[in-house]
Amino acid sequence: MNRFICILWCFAFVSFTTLAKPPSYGEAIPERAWEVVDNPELGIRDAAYLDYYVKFTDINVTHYRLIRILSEHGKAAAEFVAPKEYLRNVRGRVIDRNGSITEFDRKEDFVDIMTYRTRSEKVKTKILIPPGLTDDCIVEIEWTISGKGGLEGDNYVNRHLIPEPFYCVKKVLDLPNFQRMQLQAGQDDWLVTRSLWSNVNPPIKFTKTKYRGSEKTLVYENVPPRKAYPYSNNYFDTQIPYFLIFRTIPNMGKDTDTFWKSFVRDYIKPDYNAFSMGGEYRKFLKDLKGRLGADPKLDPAQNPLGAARFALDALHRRLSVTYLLKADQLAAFRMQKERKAPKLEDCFRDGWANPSEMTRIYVKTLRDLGIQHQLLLTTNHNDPPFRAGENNPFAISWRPLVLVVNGEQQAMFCPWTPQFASGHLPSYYQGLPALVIDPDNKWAISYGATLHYGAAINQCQTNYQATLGKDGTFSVAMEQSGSGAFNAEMTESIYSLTDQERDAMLAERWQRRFGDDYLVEKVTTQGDRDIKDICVVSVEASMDLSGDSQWLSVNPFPGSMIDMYSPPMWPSDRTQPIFLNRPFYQVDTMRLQVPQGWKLKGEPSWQKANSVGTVKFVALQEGQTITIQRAITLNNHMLEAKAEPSLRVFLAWIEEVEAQQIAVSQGGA
Amino acid sequence: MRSLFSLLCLITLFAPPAWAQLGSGLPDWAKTALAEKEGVAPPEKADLWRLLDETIISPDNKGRITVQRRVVQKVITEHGVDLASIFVIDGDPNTTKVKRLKGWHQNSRGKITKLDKANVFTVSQAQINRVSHDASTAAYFEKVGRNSIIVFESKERRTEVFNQDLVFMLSNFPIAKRVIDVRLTGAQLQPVNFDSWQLTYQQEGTRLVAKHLPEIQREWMTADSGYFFPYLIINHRQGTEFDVTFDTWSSLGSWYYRTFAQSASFQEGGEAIDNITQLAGIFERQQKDISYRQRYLTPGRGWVPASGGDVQRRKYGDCKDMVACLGFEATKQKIAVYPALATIIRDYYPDETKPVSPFAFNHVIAAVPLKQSLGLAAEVMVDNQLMLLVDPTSKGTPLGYLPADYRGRQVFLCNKEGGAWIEIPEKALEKRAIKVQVFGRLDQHHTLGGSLIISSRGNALGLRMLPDNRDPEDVEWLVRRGLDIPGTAVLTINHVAPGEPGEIQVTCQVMWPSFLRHDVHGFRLPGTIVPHTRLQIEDRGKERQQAIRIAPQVATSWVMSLSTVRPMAPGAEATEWSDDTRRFAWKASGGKTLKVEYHRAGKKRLFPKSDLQAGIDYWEGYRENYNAFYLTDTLFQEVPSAN
Repeated sequence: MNRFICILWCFAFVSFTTLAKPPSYGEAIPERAWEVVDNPELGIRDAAYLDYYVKFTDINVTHYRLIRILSEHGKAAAEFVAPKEYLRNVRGRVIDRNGSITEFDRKEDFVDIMTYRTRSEKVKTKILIPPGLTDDCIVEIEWTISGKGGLEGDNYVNRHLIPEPFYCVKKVLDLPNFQRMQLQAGQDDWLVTRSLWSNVNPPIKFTKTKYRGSEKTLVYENVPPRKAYPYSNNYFDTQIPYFLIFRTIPNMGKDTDTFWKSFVRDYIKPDYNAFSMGGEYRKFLKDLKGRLGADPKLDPAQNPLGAARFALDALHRRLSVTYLLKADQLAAFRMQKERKAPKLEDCFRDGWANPSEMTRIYVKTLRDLGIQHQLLLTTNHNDPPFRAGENNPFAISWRPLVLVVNGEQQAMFCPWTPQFASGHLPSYYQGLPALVIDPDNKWAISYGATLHYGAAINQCQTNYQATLGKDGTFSVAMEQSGSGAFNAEMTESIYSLTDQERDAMLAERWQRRFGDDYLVEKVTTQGDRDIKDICVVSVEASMDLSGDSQWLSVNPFPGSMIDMYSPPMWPSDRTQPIFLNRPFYQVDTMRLQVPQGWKLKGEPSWQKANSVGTVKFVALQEGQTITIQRAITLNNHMLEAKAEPSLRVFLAWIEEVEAQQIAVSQGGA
Repeated sequence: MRSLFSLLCLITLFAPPAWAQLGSGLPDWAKTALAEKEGVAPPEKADLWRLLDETIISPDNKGRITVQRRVVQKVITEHGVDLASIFVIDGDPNTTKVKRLKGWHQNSRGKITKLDKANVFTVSQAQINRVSHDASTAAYFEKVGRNSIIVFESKERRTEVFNQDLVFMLSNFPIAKRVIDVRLTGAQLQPVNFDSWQLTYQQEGTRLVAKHLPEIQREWMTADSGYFFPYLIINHRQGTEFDVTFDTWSSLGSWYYRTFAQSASFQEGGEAIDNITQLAGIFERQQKDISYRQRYLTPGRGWVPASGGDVQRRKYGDCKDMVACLGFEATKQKIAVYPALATIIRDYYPDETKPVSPFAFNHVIAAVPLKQSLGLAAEVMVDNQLMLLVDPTSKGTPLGYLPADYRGRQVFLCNKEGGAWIEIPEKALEKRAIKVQVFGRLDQHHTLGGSLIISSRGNALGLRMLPDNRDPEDVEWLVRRGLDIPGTAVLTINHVAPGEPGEIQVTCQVMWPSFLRHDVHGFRLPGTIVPHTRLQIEDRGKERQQAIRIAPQVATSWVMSLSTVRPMAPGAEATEWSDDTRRFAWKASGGKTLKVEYHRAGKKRLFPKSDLQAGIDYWEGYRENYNAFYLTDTLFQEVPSAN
């Protein structure tokens, strides 16, 4: 027995000493810490975290940092900002290369700023700029933030990216036993905490171990710094590992499929299952059925896609969405008192619905028309993508897109964006992973993706007719209209204005776009009062083009812009995908009448194309008519990282074609 | 009787909107303001019309100042809604206490809602590089629409720092009536620029009423300084933190010297120097150790420096902290140091003739007396004493020089007797210049593949700010920003090294798509090298409202040798133009190797409101010349082959 106890004791002693310890404030800085210096190959520049340590418990989160500062820029690594209400126990010091130590003084160095104050709450932030920072020192700082269930303050989620703006020699996440934590919290705490972590790629070295006093410790070593890239979303970068900790709904099942089935049953089905609606809705439905019935091509049984499209058009014409109201609706909306117990019927009385109400009404309409449909829950291009295995109901929108299938064909409907044609998904919802729900199949779930469209659905045509008079006057008539995103943008900018305001705003806008050499005489619009119509803008303008030069330089497409820009710099080594605004096809055409004897100079036509898109400029003369056309195609708005060089070249061509003018001269090319 | 009763019922039933428009429920002063403009059309193109903007400044019984504001405004268009809905009070909660904040919203139907206190919030303006307790308190109304009338009333208690306040008259919307009523002891009002802006105003004692104030137009090429607009200087004798009055520059100068030296812990007995060694040592250590950060945690800290010892412990500070730290060390070694107030970046050039005000300045540098000339560029003679001007904030400038921003400026040296204005001579400024040599090949798409050799003199590109072990991406960013190289061009930095004294050279590889771009019947160089045609300064149909600023141009030269697939010829082989403000020069030869040189340089010029036509005429003349040159001379055309 004694021997047994002895062995046990030895074993415990050995385990105790071989288990790594969490860092301890105030110990001597090892010599090798000073050996960490700039290393461009590894990505060490400006500063490096020698030890970045976070410990999660049920009542707080403790932080420890040991930071090597290498330059002026690197001093930012030592800046400290924390919410005062939840901050406990902060201390720190700066150790200079020559050995001098500056301790942070609580009163002097930590500043409490009133970040935000309202009648009901006061939020203060503690800011520290460590005194004594030089461009060759080490900073040690430790602090605790109180919280609940492993999260700080009253946060519900922390999606922590492992790479920091500076190199991490070592980053440690120290985790508790969440289940035991849950049992201890008991009845007080309805939500449970879940945590998970993504895969890691070289050069990051990942070890799952166990520090003394904790349950599970994730150790990341040699983590290169993360840069900020243009047109990006870090959460889509598979090279950026992350740790996710979040509070979630309990008793939904551990297994991913079970989790999502439970979630749909408890939180989605109640809103989108069958329910009844009152008289105004029934009138709308009856009218809709009548119109569908009048056209055999719109029979819901034969052509569910066509009928679904027609139904959404009808709904969008009957109800405005609350963020895009007509002028008189906006005035009435502002007069309205807050609805205490809103009912869906109220939408028909008011003439508007918010995005969630609009979606529920549309789904009900489809059900009442007998059109089979599926619901898709997803995210958008700015947020983290849906990853089913996370079992995280808060990382997904609870308001569904609607999918209708007819054999090989399918269409996706976004009920809350009436400014787009029905069946057109806004570009920021395209190509994303989604949770697919089938209400007609016992609310079964599956995993799919939202549709991905090309350039054809976003087209913009601008046609110019111009005449160059013998006296040098240059008069232009322009007509511009678009589809998809172009039409949506035009609609959004004028739909809520009165006729008078719209005209004044457009007159100013087009005068600005044409430039001060022109006098914009008239701006008219059509089709901007029906949310589902195509909006057409017409402009008449003139200017004096006479000059001393032997030839005249003419901008063939005054006022027409190309919405694609290069940022001033593209940091190197990009691994994450590129998210542009929208794919599109844009054509500008000018028909210019010149007086007898006048000719187009030179041969200005050209065309350049690569995998990202095409830019084409054509100019030719037939008799007294010179036709100039520029056509730009951006094939896709979601590109792989390796397309970056081609994208930059494409953007250079855009800049080139946007600035290009033509020359006309009297008497010869 | 009965018919009268029916009549009354009818009136009550059908006239509510009309009655409501009389403004029942709004405070009397708001009703008066509305009545004054009843039936008057708002100014043309106004989105929002402020009918009354009243500021009453009075003392409280504890030597502090109370500021009352009353605002009455009407929303004309949808665009004016956001601007009208919100009322902001700026300040530091330690010095500005909001004692009262009330509001009323009368919607287009006449219904009046009072300001909900839940819609008042305060947000900090602190940033990590500018730590302060500055905050903005905002009150807002929801559901504001066209024809809404918004009324705000506020009362703040302010602990003032100086016996002087500035009130700027104009806003981003027209103001029908602006009242400034100063009820402070010994108050004096001095309107500035009211006449050049042709403001209609009347002054009775210390109460000023201005009418029909125009909105500030959105214009370009404008001067970067509020002092070109109409403003009011209020000098008074109310007790404040700093016991200084602004009768003369001298009273400001002696007060500042005393306050500065004491706060910074300067030692007495400092003298002029006869060699630079000690000062250079202090200066270099400080350049290395002290970073720039602003820390304004008490009311006076925007003016009074931290003690030198404190700055040394923190190892950061703003411009005056840096002068304090320099002086702290220097006076310990018996070197005399004086603070000198300066203005940089902003387009305001204070001198002896300008109104006396601490707000004229935004920077502090140091002046050190010399026993004899040490042969340094930034030496100036002040009242028979030779002084060396030192700007410890400017990391890129060597001791003995001042950065180019001081061109044409004066600084105000502060000492026990008062002070002296010093004109900065041209010789004190480090010369800035940029030269870029371009070597390479243009392929059939006119993409340039080649190299750039960049020379930056006088820290023109800001490269001196980088440490010796510079990160190539930091260098790339400074090169791109300084030369305006488009993001579509790929740059790879090869080498950074010092050249001649004051010069840094950068060599890099470049892949620049569409380097020669199609235009009219030929091709042009990038806008980075030869800028596009200049736009007109006046918006069509609008008279120019604000002061004009002709921007300075760092002397820049591009020297290129480019081989092409097909031979080309330039529009002109040599063109030169200059006047006393700007100049450009072009030299080009063609063939299958294009050789191009383009040089440009320019001085800053400012044309205030009283001299606008001269500015407009100047720009028109320059524009005509430049555009003509650009259109024809800089156009390259492909040359048909000999055979």
